[in-house]
Amino acid sequence: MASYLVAFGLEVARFLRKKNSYIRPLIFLSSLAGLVAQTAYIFNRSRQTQLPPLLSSSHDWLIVFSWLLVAIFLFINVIDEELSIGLFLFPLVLALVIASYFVDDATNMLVVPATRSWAMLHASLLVLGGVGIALCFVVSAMYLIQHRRLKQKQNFSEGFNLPSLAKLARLNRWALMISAPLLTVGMGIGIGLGVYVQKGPHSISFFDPVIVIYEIVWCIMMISVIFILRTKRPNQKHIAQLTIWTGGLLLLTVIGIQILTNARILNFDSWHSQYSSPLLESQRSTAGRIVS
Amino acid sequence: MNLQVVYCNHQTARLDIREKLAFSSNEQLENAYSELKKSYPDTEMVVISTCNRVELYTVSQELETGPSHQDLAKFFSEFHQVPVNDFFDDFLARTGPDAVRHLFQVASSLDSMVLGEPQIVNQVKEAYQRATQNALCGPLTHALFQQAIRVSARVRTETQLAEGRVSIASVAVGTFGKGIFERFDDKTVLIIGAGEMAEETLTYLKDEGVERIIVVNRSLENAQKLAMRVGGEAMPYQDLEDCIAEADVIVSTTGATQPVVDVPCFERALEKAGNKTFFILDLGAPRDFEPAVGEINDDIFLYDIDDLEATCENNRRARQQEVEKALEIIDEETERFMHGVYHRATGPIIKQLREQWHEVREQEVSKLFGKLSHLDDKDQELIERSIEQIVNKLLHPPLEVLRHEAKEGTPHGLLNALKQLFHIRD
Repeated sequence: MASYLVAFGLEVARFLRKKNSYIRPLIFLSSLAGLVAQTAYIFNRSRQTQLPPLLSSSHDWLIVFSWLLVAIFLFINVIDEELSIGLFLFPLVLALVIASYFVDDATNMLVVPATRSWAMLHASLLVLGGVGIALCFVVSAMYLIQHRRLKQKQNFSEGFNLPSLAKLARLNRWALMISAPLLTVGMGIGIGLGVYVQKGPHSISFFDPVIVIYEIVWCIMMISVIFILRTKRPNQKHIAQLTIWTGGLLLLTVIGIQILTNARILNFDSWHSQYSSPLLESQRSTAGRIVS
Repeated sequence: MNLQVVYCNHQTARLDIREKLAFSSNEQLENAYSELKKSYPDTEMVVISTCNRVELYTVSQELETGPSHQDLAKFFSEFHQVPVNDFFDDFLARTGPDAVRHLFQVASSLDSMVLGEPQIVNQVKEAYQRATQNALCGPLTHALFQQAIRVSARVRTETQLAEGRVSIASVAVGTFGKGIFERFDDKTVLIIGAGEMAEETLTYLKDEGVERIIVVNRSLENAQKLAMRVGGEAMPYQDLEDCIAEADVIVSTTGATQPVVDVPCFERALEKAGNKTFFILDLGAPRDFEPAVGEINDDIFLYDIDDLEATCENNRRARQQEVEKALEIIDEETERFMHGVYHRATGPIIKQLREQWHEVREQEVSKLFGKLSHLDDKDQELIERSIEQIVNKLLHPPLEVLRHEAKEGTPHGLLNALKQLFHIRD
């Protein structure tokens, strides 16, 4: 997390102090250092739990989520070094890393060998869809800032470069078009897995708050996607506003609900937390982490 | 000699003030020259009127015969039907070396919105030529403007002021256009007006990959000429709304005194075009697009000359180092020019005084040698040289004072005193 904080700080410095030939390589190196450290952590966790990182716990799922965002940042940085995407991505990465401290890190007990592949697909599709939505959120924020600059006829500082509105609109559309089916299929597989698990020794409630809220936000997102697809010549600013609201809502609720249920702030039992870690252990581990 | 410039430019006055004081057509300028000539027949004059500035340079031999700052403000007020109070605070004046330095800065593009832009020197040349055609230039304005063009070339050669993005259009397209569109090769560009600015903008846009260009002008002939040069298509002015509907980028540089595109006109074009993005560069002064056009919807991005100010300021900061060098050149050239001007004023007096005294010397020496016929050539030469030295030594103090005073400006009082004391005639 320290590396990402440094990288974010440097991005802010680049924004405030304009062009400096030393800042960009420093941002790249600190992000890379963070990514390497995070990779090692994920690898170790996976070895300890004997499960792939996406399946082992909600904590690991969020860590993988943030890892993917940093990997995307580094990829974009190699292609276009002047682009100020780090200023938007790093707060998300930091939020995910911080959130991971507050969610369950105990091994998931529901993953049995018979459903492991399906569970892996479910978690992978959701994390990839989540990354897509996070990118939609970032791209939409960039669009609205760029649009505001152009409408107000202002000039950005030299250290702050955003792509054209046309490019941002295109990226937003693609990210949305890719992440919507990923999330839909991921959610469908999750429901299928729930039905399957219910037949076994564990009883799973489909009124699990994580599932219910996720489904509501998914419905909102699908309505947005259909609206965007059906509009022949859409107002790109409205699309960006719509995307930033639905994407923000999805990220906030999916991460927030996990924190709230794991920390027992909401008095619900969720099979995304309680079953993966017994209540007492969960409270102990979460409280212990917060204290430490 | 009284050299003066009265001006308002993008640094001193808002666009709406400049619009009111601008001479937007050749016909209007000819009328202005004609009226000025009637009022001040003995004054040399040159008017520079561009979208960013209105400047009037005047030179009169006597202070009394030339127009004052107030006189010229009154002329602008009466000619453009604008109350003096509306613009006088933004209507500045400079005289003598300050006026010369100002012109050199203008011609060298130091006073432009975009530093180093090449257009201004052509506009200065054009203004000088037009004043010459109207028989309003005299020896001093000829010298001044020719020197200004030379100074501009020197600044361009000896500094890096003209490197990189320099014209208003290129800054506008580079900073704002590229923020809107990802590419230009699939865009249709509409040029309204066919002036020099339009042609430069087109050249820049073509470099960005623009292929389809439509040129609309009140004069179809001018539109066709420009369209032929740039590989575009000329359309009659009546089809303006259809052309707007087709365009993605609109560059307007007409000399119209009223907006050529207002909100109802643009809304009619929008109905035909549907919901699409427009990038509009209104480079005309007065403005060609009603400012409210930019507020019709979120996808219309309208920029006028003043909107480019912030970008130009950034450009200016980045080139500050070059500005210092350019200013040094301009100071040096101003001093040289003023020295020439003062020399021109004092030179004839000094020459006449010298000739007069040496004539007296020669007469007296001839008389002396007539009386002393026994002197050989060597003695005569010695005496002749000695008297010449006496004359030169006597002349030295007054001439030195005259030269010294001339460094500060034309020493009218001293010149008059010398003329009277030594009976020197012009």
